[in-house]
Amino acid sequence: MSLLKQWRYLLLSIFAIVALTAFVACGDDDDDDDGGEDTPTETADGGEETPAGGDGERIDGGDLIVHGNEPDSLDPHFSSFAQDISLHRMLWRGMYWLDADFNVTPHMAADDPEVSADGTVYTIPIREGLTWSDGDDLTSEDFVLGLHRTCNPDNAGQYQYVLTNVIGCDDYYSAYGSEDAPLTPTAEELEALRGAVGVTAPDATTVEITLQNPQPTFPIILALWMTFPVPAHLFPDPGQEWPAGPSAPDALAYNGPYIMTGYTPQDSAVLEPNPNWAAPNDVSPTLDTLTIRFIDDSSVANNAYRNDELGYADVDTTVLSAVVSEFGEGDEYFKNLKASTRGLQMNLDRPPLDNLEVRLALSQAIDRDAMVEVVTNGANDATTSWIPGNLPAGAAPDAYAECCGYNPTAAQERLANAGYPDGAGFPTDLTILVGDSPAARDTAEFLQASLQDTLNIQVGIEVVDSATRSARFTSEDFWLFPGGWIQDYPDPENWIVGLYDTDGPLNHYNCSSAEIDQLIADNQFNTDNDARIDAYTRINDIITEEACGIAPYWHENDHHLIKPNVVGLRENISAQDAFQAGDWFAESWGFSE
Amino acid sequence: MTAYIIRRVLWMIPLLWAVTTITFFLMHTVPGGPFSIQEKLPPATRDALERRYNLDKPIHEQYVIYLGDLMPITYEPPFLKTPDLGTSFTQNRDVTEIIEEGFTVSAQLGLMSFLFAMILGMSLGVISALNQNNVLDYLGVFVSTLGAAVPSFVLATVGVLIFSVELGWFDVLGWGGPAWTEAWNPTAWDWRKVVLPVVSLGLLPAAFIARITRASMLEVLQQDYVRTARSKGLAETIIVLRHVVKNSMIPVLTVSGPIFAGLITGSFIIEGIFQINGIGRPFVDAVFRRDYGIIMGTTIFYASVVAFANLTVDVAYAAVDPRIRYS
Repeated sequence: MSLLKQWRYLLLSIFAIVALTAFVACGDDDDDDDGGEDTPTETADGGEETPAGGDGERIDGGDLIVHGNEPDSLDPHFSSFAQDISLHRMLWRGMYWLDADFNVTPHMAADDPEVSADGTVYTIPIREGLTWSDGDDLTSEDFVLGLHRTCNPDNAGQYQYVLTNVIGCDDYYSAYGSEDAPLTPTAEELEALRGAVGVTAPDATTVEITLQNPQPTFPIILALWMTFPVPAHLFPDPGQEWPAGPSAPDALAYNGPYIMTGYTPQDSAVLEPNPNWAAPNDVSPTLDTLTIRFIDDSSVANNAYRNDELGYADVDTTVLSAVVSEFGEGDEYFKNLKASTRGLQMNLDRPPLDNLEVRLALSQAIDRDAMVEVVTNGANDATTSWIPGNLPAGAAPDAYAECCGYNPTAAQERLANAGYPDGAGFPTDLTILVGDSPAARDTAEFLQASLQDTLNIQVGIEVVDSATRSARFTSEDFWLFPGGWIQDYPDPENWIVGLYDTDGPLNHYNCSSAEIDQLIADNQFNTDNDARIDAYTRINDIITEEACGIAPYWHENDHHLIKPNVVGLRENISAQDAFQAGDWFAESWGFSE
Repeated sequence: MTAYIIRRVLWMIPLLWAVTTITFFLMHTVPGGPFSIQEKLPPATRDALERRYNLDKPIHEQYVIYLGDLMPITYEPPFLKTPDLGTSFTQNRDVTEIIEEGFTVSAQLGLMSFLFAMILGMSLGVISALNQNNVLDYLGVFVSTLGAAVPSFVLATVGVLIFSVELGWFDVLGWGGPAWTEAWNPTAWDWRKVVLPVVSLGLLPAAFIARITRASMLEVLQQDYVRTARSKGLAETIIVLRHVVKNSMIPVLTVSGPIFAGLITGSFIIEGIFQINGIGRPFVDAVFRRDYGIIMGTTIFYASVVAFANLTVDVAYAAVDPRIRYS
């Protein structure tokens, strides 16, 4: 064979590979849709049901596989991550439940709580005849043990602070003292502290909870995961280790709509309908199995969705417009506002960030609309408000546009008023501290360019891994920090208390406002709900108008892909701690014809 | 030979101790801790979590506790115990259990990829060398250059797009290996989940092995004893199989040990792209999340596997090359 012929073979091979790659890159355009706008359908409970499922009749049975993330822990009294809580809510339920409009409705409780005249004692009737998935009776003792478990210092529940108003809970939780002043309580002392927690079971169908102060938000707390019951027949000790890993499904009992029948670390959790589910809403699971497939990377999940291995997936927002175009808005692609705000956080202890004019100059130098387009591919919604407008005490995205929104001229004037005309003399040691993800780098680079272009000031970018970033934030070792908040429960106090009071444990940006402190002190336990909401509305004004630790720039959205034959993925307006669309009401998930 | 093996095994003890100590202290010098990623935690909760996992103790005390747990000996009869690699802070489980589960999958993936790499790499190398400067040689060199030049994540991603999303031949998610007892039964494997990860992981080492095999073969083919064998009229097949291939294997063996160890201890990238529940992903996640338990356990495990793989290769030298003898 001549040399020329050999080279022809070689070139032919290269051409074949290039052509095959090009075929793949250009493929799938046939599925593009004009993305007609389908309006979500209002459901009986007020939730918004996605129009997925087409016109087909709902059918019983089927195996639904959805995209999720692996939980750190299966213990609802310990966890703090959204993916954990999402799974817990499918397996266990509490005395009360939050419907789509934030109304607290009886769930495992028989009725609303009876509250004492001074608002500090809650007497809760539990439904009779409740059973765990293993057939054992579910009684008030199980709920008491659940609350004790969250307050237990050996369990170190990460949401214990939500129960701080329950008598004795803080004392029990801090029985070992602090890092600076450690204590060594005996077993008897620990038991005495547990006994002093104001949660008791006078009889098998009554739970009594005593608070230090009347708390308007306490009914909401009673609907959250950290108050879920513990199967006392399996775990009598509140500090007992909770099962984990592949052996966990058989070691646990459940009172939620599903039971877990399989758990493979890094792979999936397999759920089946709970035969003893009490169905408080008259809604029971119709699926044969529900599999939560743990997938870290949404681009992988999207490929699996395309290959029909998943019925639901979160969208890879780095290619959002391509995904929307491929699946069609309202056909298979859906978007929901998430109760979350991100912004440029500033450490007020570090000059010149202690200067209000400087902070507002930074805030007004950020073109939020451009930032959303450039950094997030339009995935989020630009805002100037800390609390989102669809929540009580929240404000519309443009509510603070005049004082704090993008305005280069006003920003330059403010910087000049602060003593740095055209950026002259502005300290050069300020940095933006970010994690090492591409999205975080893009955010920092956009902010850096905005401050340079608008204010002629130079700020550096410090890229560190996520654990270092968080450690430096909590130790207040930063100047500028892109960060924010995701709502834990739908009340404005969750957006403010602890975060913006001067001594708040999560106030790492050192916001200190006498007016905010006074408003919180006067209203945190105010039973006049309107006055309480007004106070938080005013605090939201102060936070934004004084850039008291943050210049908000966007509210996050969730983006989902749902197969046309999957029904019941109902999102509510707060999307509270949602991981999958409608995971707060997973018993309604199913298939249509 | 036995004395040599015992000596090498005993040398592993100080080696593993050094790896353990260096990793332990290096790990704690990096800023942040297992719970620092959770910015919402109030100080009281952070204190409670650190106490729960003994992280509130001084660092030297934590080291002594860890080393004590790791030792396979105890003061009480029968004076032996199972080494305890600790607890994962992020998964609330024994690290030994996590490594066991992950390694089972990574080992299957690695073993299949290793077999694929050896078969493809050696075949390409041998064919190339026997057809030097021929079209088959160019093709072999082209394939091995391509395999070495294209990163595994590109190969895997393009493979998923072509063969899963477009053609629907293979699955995107998961690993299709059976229990080890079923591993000899081809029907027990879910090949839709096996082919892409194995090819993606195995192509780079295959390319490497092909180049080494080819170079080594070409060198051996020019040796005097090969010329002598030919002049004596031995059949070409016998010359190649008995004299050339066998004697060309020493360099291949040298690299196959580390390649084998690397493949069976998991690939973060391939496990991530196919969401395979091996050992690579938990290790990398643990580094980012400062899960000290998993970092320590996996590092010690990796060190042991590499040390044993190298020992195996050294012992195999003697089997392949009669000139090598250990005393």
